Amino acid sequence: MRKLEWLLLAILAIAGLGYVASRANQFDPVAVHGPVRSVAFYESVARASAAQFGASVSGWPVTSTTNRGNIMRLVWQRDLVDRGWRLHSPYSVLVTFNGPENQVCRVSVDASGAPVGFYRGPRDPDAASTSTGQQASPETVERARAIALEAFRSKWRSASGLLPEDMRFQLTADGVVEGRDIRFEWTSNADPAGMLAWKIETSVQDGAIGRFALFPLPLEKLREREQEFERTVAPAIFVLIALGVAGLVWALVLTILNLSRKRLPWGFAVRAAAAVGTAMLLDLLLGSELNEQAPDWYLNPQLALTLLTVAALNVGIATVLICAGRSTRAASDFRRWLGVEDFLRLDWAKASVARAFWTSGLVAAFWVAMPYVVSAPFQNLLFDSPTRRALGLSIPMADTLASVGSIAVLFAIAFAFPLLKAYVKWRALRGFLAVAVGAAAASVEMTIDLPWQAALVSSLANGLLMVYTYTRFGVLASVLGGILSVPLARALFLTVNGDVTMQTWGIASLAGASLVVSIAAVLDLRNPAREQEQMLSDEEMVEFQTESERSLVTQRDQMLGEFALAQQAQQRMLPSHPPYVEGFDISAICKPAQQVGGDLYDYIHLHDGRWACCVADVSGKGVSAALYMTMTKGLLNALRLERADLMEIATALNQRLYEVIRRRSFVTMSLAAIDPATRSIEVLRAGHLPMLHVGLSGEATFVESKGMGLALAPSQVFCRNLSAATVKMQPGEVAVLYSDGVTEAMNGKREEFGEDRFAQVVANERSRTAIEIRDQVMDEIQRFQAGAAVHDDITVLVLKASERAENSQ
Amino acid sequence: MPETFQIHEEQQGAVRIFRLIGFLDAHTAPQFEKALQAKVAGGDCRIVVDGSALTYISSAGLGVFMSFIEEVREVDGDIRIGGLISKVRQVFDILGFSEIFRIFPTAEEAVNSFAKPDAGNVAMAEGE
Repeated sequence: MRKLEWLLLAILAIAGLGYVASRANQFDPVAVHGPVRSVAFYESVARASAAQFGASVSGWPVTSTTNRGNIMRLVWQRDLVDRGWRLHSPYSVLVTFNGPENQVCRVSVDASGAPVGFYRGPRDPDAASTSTGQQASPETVERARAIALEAFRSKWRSASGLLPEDMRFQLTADGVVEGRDIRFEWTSNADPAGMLAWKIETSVQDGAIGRFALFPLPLEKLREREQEFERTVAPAIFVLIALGVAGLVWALVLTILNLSRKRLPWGFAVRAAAAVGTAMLLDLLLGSELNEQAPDWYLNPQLALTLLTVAALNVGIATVLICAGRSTRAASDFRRWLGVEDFLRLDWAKASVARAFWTSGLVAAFWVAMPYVVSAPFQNLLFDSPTRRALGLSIPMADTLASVGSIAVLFAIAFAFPLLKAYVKWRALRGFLAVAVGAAAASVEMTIDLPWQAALVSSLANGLLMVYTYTRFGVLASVLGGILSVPLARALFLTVNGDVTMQTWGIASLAGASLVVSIAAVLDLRNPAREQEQMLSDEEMVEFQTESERSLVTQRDQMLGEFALAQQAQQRMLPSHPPYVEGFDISAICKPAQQVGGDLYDYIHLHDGRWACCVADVSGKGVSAALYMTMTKGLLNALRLERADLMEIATALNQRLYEVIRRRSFVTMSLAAIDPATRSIEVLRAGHLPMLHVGLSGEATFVESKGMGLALAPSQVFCRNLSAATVKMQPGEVAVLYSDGVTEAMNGKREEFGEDRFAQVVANERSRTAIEIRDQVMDEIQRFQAGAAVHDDITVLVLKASERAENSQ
Repeated sequence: MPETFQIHEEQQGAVRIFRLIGFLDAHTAPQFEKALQAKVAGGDCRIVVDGSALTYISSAGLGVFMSFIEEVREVDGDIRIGGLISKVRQVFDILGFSEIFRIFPTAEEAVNSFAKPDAGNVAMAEGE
């Protein structure tokens, strides 16, 4: 079934492209002009024409720019074309010969290869000083008239080709002296519909033609028609623009909110911006519409600044659209975004990207064919966007990303569709809205050259197409397809309709695109892991789960709030300051790895008056560890009232914990009871790391003694394996209790902080106060971890035998 | 991040051998727990853990051993450990695990110990 669908789609796409190619020249209003020419052709025509006007331009550098669409609406008037009242193609190429001393010669050549304009003189004629009041002698005017008449007779006829029989020209300005120019002007009668006349203007300067121009003169009736048209479409355009702007603002707000709430990774936004920026830069360099109209834009700082600002704005808009869609997409849309994610991570060999690449070829074919196939029933279509675009000078890649059409496609597919999917629950309504948005986006690129019925049908069909490709192929394939349809159409037209140079470009582009599509298809189909790669990785699964939990966000926030309270409560459970013990300086700290932790330290006033310091670590993490930790603290404080002996306390504690925890977890603990009278510490370790003792000369020893972890075994076993040790403390000596978070703290290379490093730090700092030693240990650990993930709570409790009786916080 | 923990399972007679490779910590412990759970639930209760390639164990990893020992001993099984590297062995010792588990120099010896008449479970026999 799947295979059948692919086959059917491929056949449809190829048939559609074939249909477009077969009718390529029928849509062109200037069908007589022959193939779409490359710039070299226009330049040779311009050169010949300049020579005919008597301008010598050999050796002058040439720049060519396109001038298209400015009189499109004249051609759009069907009856003008039918009556032959259209004298030349609406497209022209302006060839400029840049001479020395700011002298230029400009020749305008229409798409059919007829010169329709000529100028020679200073680059900026307004700036050149015009000496007024100069009188030309009647002989000079007479001679000029002869030259102008000659030009009129010979040039405009060749420019206009076949003229309608009822077209007549009249001399309307005869020898008007303007500075050094003597101007002549011929105006035609209006066409039978009364919409358009033509004008020929020539200026003779120093016995040669200085300016020649053939241009249309729209009459009142045509202007009224145009205004009427504008009035009808203006509200629709206004609504579209308003919706677009509102959507963009919304997208911007969503992006910022999601970035700040960390629901959208910064990495994604940065990668998206980089990808769009790269494409935009290529577009600008390889020949966008802007570039074509001002090929030397980068030499003009002001123009360059404007262009780059516009490009940056476009990059921003595109990025925001992608980011907003990515952060609002519903969980069920995840797979459709897989291609985008992998593409931005440059994992282009992955099945998700390879598949998107080759299906985007399919999608682009549909995009190209759709308007033609849909509007086939409408007879005598004039021309449409792809034809218009085919007449460019640059290679067919141009004009893709920077166009409003591309932004509209991105708007619909990357932003509006995910939004609808996430928020509109009613399926029928969602489908309807999606098609409407798609149609609106498609109509942005539509030009007025289709009859409105065709435009409507074509837009709706494109809307449907967008929804289908989004659903079926995902975001990357449909966006790429939509955007690449423009160069694809252009390449197709050039291949069918171009001259040799343009055909070469067209064929090369088509071949390049086919190659990419084929490689991607082979990569995809022969990738043994293609199914797995469509699956989610563990990381993505975690992300996916958090996303599907988005509706539970408020609950989660509440829980986080409770966790924060639990953390505060737990921190409050730790003693706020150490007890006063004569001859000892004590300080401790506990830094939990998660919000609630399993480490504990406490000071217990024993029955016999001694103070005992305790550091304990509950195995496991999070809430259960925190609960056992609380229980341990409670039990310890209850037991100290009954007993003074450390071994007895530990055994009793083990018994209670064993009864409750029953090996689901266990607790390790060090207990150190300080006897100020003898300046000694009795220390016991229940499965905990041995106490560190640092002598006066800095020698470090770990005080070993026997002992199992608490809650692992019943009392008899625990008791049998338990012993205590006693350490005499000379003034200035240091003892440290700590949790395994200290010695097992890891850096990015998974190296452990280790006992040796720990002992070394304490030994180095032994002359300082307890609080300073404590802080130094914490600092060194933090420096060692250097930002690596912290997995375990870290607890340090420093006991320092002081010289005098003193205490510090 | 590269794979930090792996389990290779092997059956040798009536004994199931779990060869642990890499870091057994709070992140990887559930993986080990799941693997043990599957065998114990299926009635395979003579278990040897080969720790010769286990480079690190945290308290969460140790917790996994504890959570099954009672269950398997109830049905005359046992979890025996062999081949621990000295650093990991130290952790077992510090915590008192060597009082509860039978620990052998090599996994092979641990496997063979099941063949011999049971010397009794060191700790548990007395406890309950």
